[in-house]
Amino acid sequence: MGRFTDEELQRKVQEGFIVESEEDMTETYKRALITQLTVQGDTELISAPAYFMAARDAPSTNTMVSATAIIQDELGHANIAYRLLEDLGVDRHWLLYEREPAHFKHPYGFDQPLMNWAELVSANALYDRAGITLLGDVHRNTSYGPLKRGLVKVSLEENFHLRHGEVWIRRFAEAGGAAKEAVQRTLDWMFPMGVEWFGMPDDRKHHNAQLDFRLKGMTNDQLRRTWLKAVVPLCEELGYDLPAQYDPDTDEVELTYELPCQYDPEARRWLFNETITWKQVFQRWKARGPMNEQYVDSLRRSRFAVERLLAA
Amino acid sequence: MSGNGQVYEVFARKKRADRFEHVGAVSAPNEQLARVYAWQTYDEAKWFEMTVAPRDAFAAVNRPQAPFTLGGPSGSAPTADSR
Amino acid sequence: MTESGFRSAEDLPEGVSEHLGDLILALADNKRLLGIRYSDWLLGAPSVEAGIACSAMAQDEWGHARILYAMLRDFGHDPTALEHERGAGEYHSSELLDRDVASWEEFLALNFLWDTALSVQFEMLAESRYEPIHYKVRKLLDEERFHFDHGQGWTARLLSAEGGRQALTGAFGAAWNACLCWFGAEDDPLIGTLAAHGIVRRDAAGARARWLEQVGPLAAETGLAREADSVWASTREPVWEGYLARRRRAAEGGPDEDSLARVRGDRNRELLMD
Repeated sequence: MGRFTDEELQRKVQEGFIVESEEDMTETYKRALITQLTVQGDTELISAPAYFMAARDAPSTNTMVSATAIIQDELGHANIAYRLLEDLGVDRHWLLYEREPAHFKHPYGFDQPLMNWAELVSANALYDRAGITLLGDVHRNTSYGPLKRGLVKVSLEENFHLRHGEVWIRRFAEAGGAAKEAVQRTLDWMFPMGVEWFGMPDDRKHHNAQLDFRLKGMTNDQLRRTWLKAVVPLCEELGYDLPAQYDPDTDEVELTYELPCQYDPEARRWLFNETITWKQVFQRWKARGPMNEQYVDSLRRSRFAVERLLAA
Repeated sequence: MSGNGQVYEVFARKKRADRFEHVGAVSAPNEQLARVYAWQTYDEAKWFEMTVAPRDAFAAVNRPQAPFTLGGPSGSAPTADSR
Repeated sequence: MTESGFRSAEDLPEGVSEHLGDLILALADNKRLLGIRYSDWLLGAPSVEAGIACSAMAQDEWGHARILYAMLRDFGHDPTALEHERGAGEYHSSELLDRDVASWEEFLALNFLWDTALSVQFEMLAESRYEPIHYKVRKLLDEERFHFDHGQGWTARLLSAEGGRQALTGAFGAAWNACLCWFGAEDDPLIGTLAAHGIVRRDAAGARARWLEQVGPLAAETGLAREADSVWASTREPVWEGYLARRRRAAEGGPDEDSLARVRGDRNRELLMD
């Protein structure tokens, strides 16, 4: 490391320079990259236990196959990020098996239980859409060569997950009755979770190394807007109610509630009338949600026992 | 025994006459498992052929370091701030 | 083969159709349940890579089950009813699959011993005179090659340490008899009839010998198999008491409540819309 100063590297990557080796990096670049990859890897990883919670009770063999294929992809994507982290000198064993569950960096949405098939496919439609929005932007813009290559597979497969979700929520909308209601009940708590997915609004973030070093291309608010413009018109077309409105004339989406607001994880309900600060939202994220420990523990079921067998 | 064994690089091609492309890497305790993991992890295409090789089998030709070795075992050790 | 093939269950000789239907149902149910057991480990496997393998193997098993259930239409079954409407006592799956296994070494007993036992039975069907099945067997066995490699690769890894060897000795020992019995006793009515008519390629003893050839070299390290004159044999005699030839399992009963709810999709029945 140390060929460039931060300012030199920032200028170079904005002009299209691709970082391929450690000598191309600065300490600040490396730190920002590690943070980004950790969020990416953790999000993919924790989606697996969240999806499995619902997939294990899928309504048929066919649906179980498609849900399991999605989980398999997510584990593969997590491994791509963790591999890159390991190559940057981060200890993968520590990342996966030693960290406190609360220290994982995935979004709060993946700390929630997914209770049935409607919740799983809604998560594919909303969360995997969020994933594609974020990672698609990284894929197009990242200055880190190994990540750009790794994301080829990821983008391809996340698109499949998204289609899976959208096909199913459409099928349930057309079926109406209990199936449509099950999706609606899910969207009631899941949609605002997706809005929060993209983090703090831009005016709260003073400085962004990920943008400066071209580790991504769009700001939080731009990404959120992209997501809203994909999700809200589709749900409206399918006859689902969301606390948001799409205006076809301006091609913009407006939320019909005030951000930020509080969530009651026990009741699985948003308290739209309870005004809070972003600091309080941040505290809720930090404290983690109800499934956090169980999800992380499920990924550690046999690791230590097998390590002991191999050491004995 | 805390690790997953060694890193294997994975190469594949979709059809005859295609060049191999580098599609990723897996960690595995032995070659047999490396082959299984590679096939099942990189299943995004119907490959005509896939092959794996241990990462440390690659030698640099013009660049100072062999590819795929950024940081990692032969690079810098984990640092406190990288955690 | 000089003998002519059978294009459908209707063409099969008297008494053969029922036995073949039972064998296909046993294979289908075992694969459906084995897929569930594999999927139970996609999160908790000792590495993320192994979890990916579990997930891929689960999908393979369910894919195979789907093909087999569809084939049972030819034998007068309704595949939808088979999938969603049977009680535990109507499943023809092994007692090894009745509930989630508790440890990775028990998982390996399923992956290495049991899955291989199922695959050997498919090999026996590769040149079956019942043509609808032998067309399907090739692709299925191609996928199973990776299951075998996974089971063998992990078994070898655990055997490389004394702690692992001891754990496998316990887990393999517990599953061993079920595997020996799966191929049938000398007078097994089902396998005997099918072998006599060229529906399966080898009789019970022949199939069991083929399985021992595959798992023997590693099972020997747990004391369960030994080699003499380059033939692999079990060090234990099969115990047949209570074995139900038709359901291919050691005792009455069936998948536990949770497993049954999952194979049938009970908990999301109102969202069933395939």
